[in-house]
Amino acid sequence: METKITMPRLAAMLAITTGKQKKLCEDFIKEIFRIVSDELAAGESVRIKGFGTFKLVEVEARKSVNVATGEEYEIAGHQKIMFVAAKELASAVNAPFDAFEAVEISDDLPTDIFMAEEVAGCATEESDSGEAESDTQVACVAAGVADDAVPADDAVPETQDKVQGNGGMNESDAEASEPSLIEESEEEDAADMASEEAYAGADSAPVERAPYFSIVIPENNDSIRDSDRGPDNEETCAEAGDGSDEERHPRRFVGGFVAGFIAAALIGGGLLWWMHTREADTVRVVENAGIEAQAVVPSRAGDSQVSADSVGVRTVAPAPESADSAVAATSSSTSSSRLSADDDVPTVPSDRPVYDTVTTTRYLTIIAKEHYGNFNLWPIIYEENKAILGHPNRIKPGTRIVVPPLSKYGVDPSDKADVDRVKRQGTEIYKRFK
Amino acid sequence: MDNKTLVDTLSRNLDISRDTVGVLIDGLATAVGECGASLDSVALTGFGTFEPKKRMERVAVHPASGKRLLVPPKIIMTFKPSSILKQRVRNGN
Repeated sequence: METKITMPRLAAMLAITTGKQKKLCEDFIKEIFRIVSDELAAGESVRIKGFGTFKLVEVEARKSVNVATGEEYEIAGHQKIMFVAAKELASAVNAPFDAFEAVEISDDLPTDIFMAEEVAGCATEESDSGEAESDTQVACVAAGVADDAVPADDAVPETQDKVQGNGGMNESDAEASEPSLIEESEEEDAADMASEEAYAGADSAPVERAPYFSIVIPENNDSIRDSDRGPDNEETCAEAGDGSDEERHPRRFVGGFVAGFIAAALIGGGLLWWMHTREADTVRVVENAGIEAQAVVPSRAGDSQVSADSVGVRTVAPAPESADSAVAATSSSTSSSRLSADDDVPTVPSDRPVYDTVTTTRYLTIIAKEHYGNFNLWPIIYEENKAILGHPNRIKPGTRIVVPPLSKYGVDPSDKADVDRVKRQGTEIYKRFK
Repeated sequence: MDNKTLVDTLSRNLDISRDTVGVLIDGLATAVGECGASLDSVALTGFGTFEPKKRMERVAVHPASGKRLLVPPKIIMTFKPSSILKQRVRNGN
């Protein structure tokens, strides 16, 4: 790694790859680069097929300033030597990253969370890949719970109004208008932003109320009906609250508008979610990461407001990791028993083969870590699927692979000798492609 | 100078067949490519250094659709000519 390879070593490498004598290789390297320098000195460009092109580029004279004295001087025009690697060389050099492709990311996703969220995204994605049906159910139920949560927050200040009279009303008015202002300002953003916000809203509730959420799921089989009913509740709630206060007529329009907007956003978000679950895994991983990251921020905002309303029953929003684990736990409880059995306890080897998909962010090593609890056990997965896989570093994203049970290869992840044996197997796999 | 002339010159100077020269050029590209893939630079005295550089992943905007893309990292091969070669190019002209 990052060492300097000099002529003799390069000649030795060339001798090994071509099977020629080392002396000849050394002469050849000296000669080819002597010719290239001669040609460059004569002002010619040189193209070596499969290697690259050396050419001279004219650099115009430009003015510069002497940093020490502050005097201006002119850098005379000259010729610069440029090397453009041929396609073959460029791709050979880029071999470690050949399998990656550019991935589209959603608009609201902050760029700094990628590294932290990648593994967490994998954890949820594992259960996602099980059944699309259960996913949609989770999403819809999540929307339903979110809807329930919103009117509850709205209703609290309203009831306080009635009790406290005018003085209290102004206060809670201001507080009630705060969220509406936030909603409106967000609404003025792009249309995609609105749908993203709906995502965040839909997720923040299950994140906070994970215990309730997991209990609710088995009961709500027709969860779509629930999510439809949610916004209705909310509207009636808001309307009833507004109607009780005669002085709040102007607010009524704003409140109704905001309620309608939230309802539309939630339904749209639910639909979008359903569509996204059917898209490629790669997109889903990134989206999940984004949603979970966003879920934390709005839930924090909600918390501070609620505590200001002297209700303050909810605790501080959970950290991203625990939020993820909560979502993962609940969604794995909804997916079929086969999956949850495998996912909940990754270190315990299963007896049945499990299917998984390689993506740009989920690699053999990551899959091995998830299923076996050890990165180093990837050669087992590779050996099982070697008929369809080529070079282990160049597996096409989207390839569906079988994750065999560890017992099939007689490997115990807690036994160091076994792990070492599998590691050696890994180096042998790489040797096959030398 | 194009590839054909280069191969001819090499085979004449080294007194080897043109096929052998082709094999050696391919082998050279493979060897340098392997060095580059492991981020090792190849230094040739009097000529220059082939230095692989890692470009980190970045977020780029697709100019046509306006969508944001996470572009993966990549390794590119750069060439730094030695001062001797630079001097020769300057004097040669």
